[in-house]
Amino acid sequence: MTVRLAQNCLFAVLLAAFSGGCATENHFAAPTVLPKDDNHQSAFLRAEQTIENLFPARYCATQHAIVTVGGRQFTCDGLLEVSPTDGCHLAIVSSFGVVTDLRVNTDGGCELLKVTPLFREDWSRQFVARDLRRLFMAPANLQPAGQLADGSVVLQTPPDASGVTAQYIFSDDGARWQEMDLMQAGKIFYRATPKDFQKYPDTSAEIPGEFEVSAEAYRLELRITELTVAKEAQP
Amino acid sequence: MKLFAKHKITLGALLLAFGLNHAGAQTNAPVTLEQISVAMGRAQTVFTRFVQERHLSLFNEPLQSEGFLCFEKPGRIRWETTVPYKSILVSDGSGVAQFEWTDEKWRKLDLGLGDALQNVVSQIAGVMDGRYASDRRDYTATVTNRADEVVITLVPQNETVRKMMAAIEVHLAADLKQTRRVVLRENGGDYTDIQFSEQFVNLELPPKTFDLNAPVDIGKIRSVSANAKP
Repeated sequence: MTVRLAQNCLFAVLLAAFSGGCATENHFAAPTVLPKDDNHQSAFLRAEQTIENLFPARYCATQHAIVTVGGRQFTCDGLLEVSPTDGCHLAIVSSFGVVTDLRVNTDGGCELLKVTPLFREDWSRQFVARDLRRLFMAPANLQPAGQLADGSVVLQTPPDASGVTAQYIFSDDGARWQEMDLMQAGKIFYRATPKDFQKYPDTSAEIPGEFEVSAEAYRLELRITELTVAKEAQP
Repeated sequence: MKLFAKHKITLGALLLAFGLNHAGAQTNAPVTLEQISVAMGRAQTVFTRFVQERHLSLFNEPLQSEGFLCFEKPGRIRWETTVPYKSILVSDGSGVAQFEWTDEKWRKLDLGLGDALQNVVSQIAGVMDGRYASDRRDYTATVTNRADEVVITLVPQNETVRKMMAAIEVHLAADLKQTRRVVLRENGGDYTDIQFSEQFVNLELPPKTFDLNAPVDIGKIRSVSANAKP
């Protein structure tokens, strides 16, 4: 009976969290992007290289995250394996075991490898896969969009089938990734801020040690606790 | 919903293991649940270091963490991770709180699962009171005597729980004075291996060890243990 009580209690909490979370919408003011001019070509090129080469081609990372949904907070760990052939493979583990396990292939497609009662399948496909794509995979088809008033360089993707555009903002010299916004119909509904850039063993570039994400249904504070560059597979 | 049943199993198995430390059983004598029940009545506090590895069948490397477990009757529990990040899950017996170390300070979370977690902690307290050992509806238990250790294998009776957690192994030193490991085996090959060291039983824990607003620093608890005999 006590077990049932605990289970029912958990179920109620999760329902409240998810339903509350789905009702939450974050909107940010879209920054004014000034048209690009020909005087900053090198900064745009540098920005493209920065995001393209940010993470090693093949690595394994462990992560720790605080997720806020509907005003309530949960913690979990992540185990991420990335390779140029297999894409991003992520398992999310809570204190209670594996929550979800998925792979985002190099073509952007999502493959759920493990579904558990602890996490809704559509959340894995919709939100976790999106975080993986946007935070840990270099975007394709980035085009120079212009600059912000403070000189920050802006690159963006063409609208996808849903009309969503990703806008990547860099320092004025293009060397440091500062922010990533997802926009639809002129409104930003997802903002990721990379923080705490640092070098990990065997990495040449400084990599974000943390990300803060504010999205339509949740807030994510993600920390990379360990990153190991994998050796190239022997032929 | 199965989440908490599993959590109960996990922490319950750990505390069951520590209770066994005081069974006083002889090396070759079979351990009975009655002995376990008696043993759990004797442990007022437990303080131990742990190293946890989660082995996921689809990954090459395990997910590792380490830290300290504190327990005090009745129902006070503190699970503190110190590496690779700092986090505290603590219950004072009446409520539960979680703290995360961010921006060089402790931050108390607005815990989403507080009520359910507290319910689970209450059940763990029941484990320490010996109710677990006398109530055999939840698990079937088998004891295996090996050359250098005793292994107790618990299999959940409930089929729903068993789908998530195939078995729990509690590895004890042959003299039952030390809990070496607890292994949580899931279906599909995943398992969690928790290894213990530096165990102290009936250590006088400092005030605020289980405080829900400002738990005492783990360094203070360790300094107390440094002057005690494991």
